[in-house]
Amino acid sequence: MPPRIRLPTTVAAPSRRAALTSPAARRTLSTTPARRARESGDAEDDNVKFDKNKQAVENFKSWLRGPGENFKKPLYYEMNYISSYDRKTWQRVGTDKDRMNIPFPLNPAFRSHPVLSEELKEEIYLRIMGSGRSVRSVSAELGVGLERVAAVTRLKAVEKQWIAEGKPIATYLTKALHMMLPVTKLVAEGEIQPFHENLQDIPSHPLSHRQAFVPVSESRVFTRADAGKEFGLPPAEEVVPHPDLIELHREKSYGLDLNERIDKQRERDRRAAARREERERKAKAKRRERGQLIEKGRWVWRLKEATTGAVGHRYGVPHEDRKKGQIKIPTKVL
Amino acid sequence: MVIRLRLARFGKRRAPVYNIVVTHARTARGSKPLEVIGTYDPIAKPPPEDVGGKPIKDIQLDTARAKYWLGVGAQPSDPVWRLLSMYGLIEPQWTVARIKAAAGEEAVKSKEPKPKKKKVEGEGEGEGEGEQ
Repeated sequence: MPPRIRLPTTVAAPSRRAALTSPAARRTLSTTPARRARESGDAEDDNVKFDKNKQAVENFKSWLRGPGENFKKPLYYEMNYISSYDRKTWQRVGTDKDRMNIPFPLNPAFRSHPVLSEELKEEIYLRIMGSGRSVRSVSAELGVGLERVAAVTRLKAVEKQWIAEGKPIATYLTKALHMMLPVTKLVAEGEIQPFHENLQDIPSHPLSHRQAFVPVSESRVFTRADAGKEFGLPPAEEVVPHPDLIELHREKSYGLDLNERIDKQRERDRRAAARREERERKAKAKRRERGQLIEKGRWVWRLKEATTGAVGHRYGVPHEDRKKGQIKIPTKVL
Repeated sequence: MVIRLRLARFGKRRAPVYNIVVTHARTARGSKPLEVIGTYDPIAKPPPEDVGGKPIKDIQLDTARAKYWLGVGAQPSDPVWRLLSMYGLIEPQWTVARIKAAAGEEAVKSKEPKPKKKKVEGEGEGEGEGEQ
């Protein structure tokens, strides 16, 4: 909850000044009898205090009925911070997201990170599970980070399964978040989806945390790739989550026309798919090599597939362990 | 002569390893079989240290050949029956194991015997009658 800040109102809170001019302090200073008579009546002072409190409560209640309604019934899919409203007129401060997004008015540099709207989450799920698109391409199109796309897909799958099973799903937290934080909404078809977050962030690698002084001749072109080699790392444009976006931008700056760029991107997609298939094929072969593990009774049984002709101990081949020159002790220590 | 699927012992004293072989029933254990379709190592290896769990026993089997030999009437010996049922090629031999497998308590669920297909007319009536 954002901190409450003092508002420029006439409501009298017990201030430091009031404490200084307490009746006891004033009593010693007062000289005229009339004043003395007034000040000596403590009951009267209490009444004044009581009235002040009452007034404060009244003011508070009227604030709750007036501008406070905005916070009691917050807008959905909008930010409802105190800084989202003009503090004099209690109107919303325009449509500038950045100006509204100050949850802690005493820390104006802090911005809260947006969350995905329900429609956008659904769209991510449909594109991945429905159209069978890759996580990377969906991430690039909708401007949502790779990990977030993967997480949304998994959680949506769980949600749908629960709905199918008739389990209740708790949506109040999501709804509450959508009434508090900035929300990235899904734009209408044909429009360009604004990026939810910076896609190309890469964590700084510990290997790059040292200073390196490399003498380089002036004539040499020292690129990011060379710098990476110095640190023993690949260049940044290769390790970012979306190297294709950089390539696309580069092609655009070279002045290739749209169709050519699309063709090149298709070719890149095809190569990526081929690489993925190859990886899966290898993983499958490895699984096959490892065999199927079955726990049964006292043992785990490792069932492997074999080929007749290549499997088994050979017939007609005697053991040679009694022959001269057979070494039976370990020859190597690990 | 009956064709059997059985084990043939190899290895040394106290260190047996077996070939799973297809042989004529009356030939010697060590004689050359028709085919070697797999191996069985009855000595359990300790589980990997980082993973733990139960000791591991290795079986290798050419399932395609095993299926063929079972299909043409080869009779597995009891131990081989046990191994083949682990691959799900035949039902477990003993009632208790069969009940367990059917209830899904055993790791391997053996295949239910398929209901016999009705013979298409004009496709060897004599054979069809013979099966019934």
